[in-house]
Amino acid sequence: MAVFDITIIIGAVLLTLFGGLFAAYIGLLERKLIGRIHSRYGPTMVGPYGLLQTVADAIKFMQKDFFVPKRADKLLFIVSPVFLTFLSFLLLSYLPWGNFSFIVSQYDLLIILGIVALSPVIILVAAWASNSKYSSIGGLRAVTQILAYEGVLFLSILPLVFISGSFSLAEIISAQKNYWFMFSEPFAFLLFLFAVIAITERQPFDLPEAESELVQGWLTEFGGPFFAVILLGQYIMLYVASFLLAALFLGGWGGAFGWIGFAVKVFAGVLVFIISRATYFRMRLDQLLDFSWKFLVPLGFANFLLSLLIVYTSL
Amino acid sequence: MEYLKIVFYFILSFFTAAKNIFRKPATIQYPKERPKIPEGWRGREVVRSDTCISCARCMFVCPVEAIDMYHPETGALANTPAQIAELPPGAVGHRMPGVDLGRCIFCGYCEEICPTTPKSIALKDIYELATIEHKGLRHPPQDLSPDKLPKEKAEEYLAHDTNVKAPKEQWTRQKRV
Amino acid sequence: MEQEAKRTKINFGPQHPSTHGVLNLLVEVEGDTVYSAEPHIGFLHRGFEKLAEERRYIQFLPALEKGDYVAAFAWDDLYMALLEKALGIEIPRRAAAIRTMMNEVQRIVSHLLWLAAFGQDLGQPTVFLWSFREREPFINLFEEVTGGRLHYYYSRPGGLKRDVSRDYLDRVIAAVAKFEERLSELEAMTTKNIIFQKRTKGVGILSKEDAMHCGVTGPVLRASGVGEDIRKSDPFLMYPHLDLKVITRNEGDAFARTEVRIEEMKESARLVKFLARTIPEGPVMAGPYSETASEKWPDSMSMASMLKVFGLSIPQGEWFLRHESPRGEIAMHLISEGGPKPYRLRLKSPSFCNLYAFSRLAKNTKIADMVAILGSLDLVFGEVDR
Repeated sequence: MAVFDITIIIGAVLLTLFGGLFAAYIGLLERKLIGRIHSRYGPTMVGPYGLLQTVADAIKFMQKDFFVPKRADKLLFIVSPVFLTFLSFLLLSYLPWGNFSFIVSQYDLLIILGIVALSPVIILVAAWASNSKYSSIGGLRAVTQILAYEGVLFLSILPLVFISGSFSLAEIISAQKNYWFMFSEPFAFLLFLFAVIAITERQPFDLPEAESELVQGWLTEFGGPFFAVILLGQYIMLYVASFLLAALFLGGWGGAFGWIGFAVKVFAGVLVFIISRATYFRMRLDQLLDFSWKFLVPLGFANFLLSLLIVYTSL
Repeated sequence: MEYLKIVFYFILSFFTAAKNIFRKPATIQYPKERPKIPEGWRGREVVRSDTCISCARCMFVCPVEAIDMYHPETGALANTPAQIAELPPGAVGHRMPGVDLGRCIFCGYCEEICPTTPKSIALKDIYELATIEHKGLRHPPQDLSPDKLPKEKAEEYLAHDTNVKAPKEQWTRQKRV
Repeated sequence: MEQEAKRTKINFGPQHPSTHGVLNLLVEVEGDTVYSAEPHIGFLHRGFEKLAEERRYIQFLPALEKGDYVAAFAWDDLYMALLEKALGIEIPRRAAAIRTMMNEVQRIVSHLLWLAAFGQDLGQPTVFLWSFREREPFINLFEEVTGGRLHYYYSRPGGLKRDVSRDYLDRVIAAVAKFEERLSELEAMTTKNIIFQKRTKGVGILSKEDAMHCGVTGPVLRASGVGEDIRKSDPFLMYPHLDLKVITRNEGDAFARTEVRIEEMKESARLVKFLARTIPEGPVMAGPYSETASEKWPDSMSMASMLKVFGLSIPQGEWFLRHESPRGEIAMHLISEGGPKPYRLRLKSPSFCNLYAFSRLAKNTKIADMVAILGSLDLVFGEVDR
């Protein structure tokens, strides 16, 4: 029987607010930063320096028509984007802060990966519920892409688990006392970066989503409030991805830098994702899949075996 | 070796993009800042009533037939001989060009062919040309006169006409008969 | 899913998210593969050749520049060169040098716009905005001397409308020098980037025989291994006196075309610097339409009397002239029966011929590749439809 302590409820509300605000302002940061990369200003008119832009966008999305296509499956159509975002928020609650996390577990990394692995199913449900030819093709493509890179994600994390001996994030962080995993496992770092960008469907791997050739992929039929919800979920995923990057590879909150250092590391991760969105061209879907199955997965296996060898011969 | 080059340029493009964050943006925040317009830029026409001799060469040279000759008092069109015949006697020499901005392509030929010194029709750096109705784009000559512009601009145009290199004694001014 | 197994014909409608202009592609698609793509053009047809018959020679110039709005000066120059050929006027050396320099600056500007649109197609708005930022100094330089940023109306029969000052030429050299540094940034983003190479290498290969059979010209032809550049084989203006390097590649894919165009930009930059330093002094206009005598027009902005040019009349005869624009070979054929208006003026544009190659190249490719091929051919639909 769960104990609903008042502190837990307040903490949950605060976390949701924090997650929401973070997602909103990360969106704005992205637009302004990408604008600066393009030698233009980002949004500047709404609020001082454009700070109220996300509020304006949120209001704009929410006041749009609540539109469900005629032959779509109504229940699934409404539930699937909400469930997708719910998954992202669920991930937030698993992320530990020091020794505290909402749901305490020894295997929190594994559970996080499991929840991430649920997202293709929901995307498929969303695409199927839209009942449109382009959505279904786009949904299939998105799912193929995510499935291809989930293997890469697992393979990049396995060496860390073996070296630190546990699936718990707190222990992985404390295992990075001497040197960060970014330096001792560089290939795992690269694999993780690629995998995470592909799973959150950002450039350069965003072909299913930003098909300027055909339509918007599986997101086509979702307009207005649904789109805002999906966007929120995606930015939360971005935060989770940067958090994992900072915790798993950049030493987390341990070591000399502490909590401030951790915040800086998460921010650096976010910057990496945003700048790479503005830098790299979009890859074609078959090139994406080739890259994953023919290059990254074998590299992941090789890296894993190498790490095992090194760990067991030095013990 | 090839792979190393690939990885190097892959990372280099990331930093090239990041370097641009620190450059000044190339945007001109339009209503608050205005771009610098060089001399001789082909904007909207300005028609001067004190020098125009009603020769209608601007109307003939216009490639898109955007210029019509108007009788200034009544605003009647006076392009063809039939329309001219309807004007009061002697009004032929009082006609002035009006421009249809919906047709004008801002080529500057009307300014080039104008025989007076200073030019009676000249293209200045006026670029805010929006009107509320479509037919408001057919400007009669009164709309294009320098009096309709803010005073400093008008003085600037009349005094430092970009075309005039000759001293003032040589300017031609036609008197009205 | 059985929906994917059927071949359907869909319309890549006349409005594209990319900046190619209005083209309707009837694409036979199955899943992700394109079996055939049939271009339907004519949405931007404005009747230039008929318009030419109804206008006097000088009045047609503004219309002509609006055909290829990206490389307007090339057409401006071609038309005036044709009239000068018909009238037997020889332009002064200074005018020829300035026209050549403007041609090369126009080439840089046009290729930058192409790079912008191509990068945008492949999914990268950064290259788009950077290329436009790089175009700004050149367009500002054009604006200073001709009065317009995209349409110039600068040439007159016998020379040029306005002279340039020494200070202006120094600024051209400075702008080109700055551009050359920035070009390496653009290159690092595009040709040297592995993702760009993967998207464009091996895509849309046009073999040498196919290229010659389809009649493509310009960088598309040179990227397929044929070293044909009209500036070298049939030179005009000051080109006989310049040592121009004809840039070719042998692969014939979209990457080769990109490389050819970027190298051409570097070559043009070099030529512009050379020309700007060595422009000979002298009058900027010659022949019966120039009027520099100060007793008549003490104030004219133009060195030509527009009234005389308005009355220009070409004797009976037939003339043909071809030049090289950034896109390929542009040509005009003039048939005159005497009088101020032509009997027939035929324009030949390179984009029209390059588009023919597209329908061959787009067989059995993927949709993403088809967009890349369309982008790499550098089509401007104002030119295609005229």
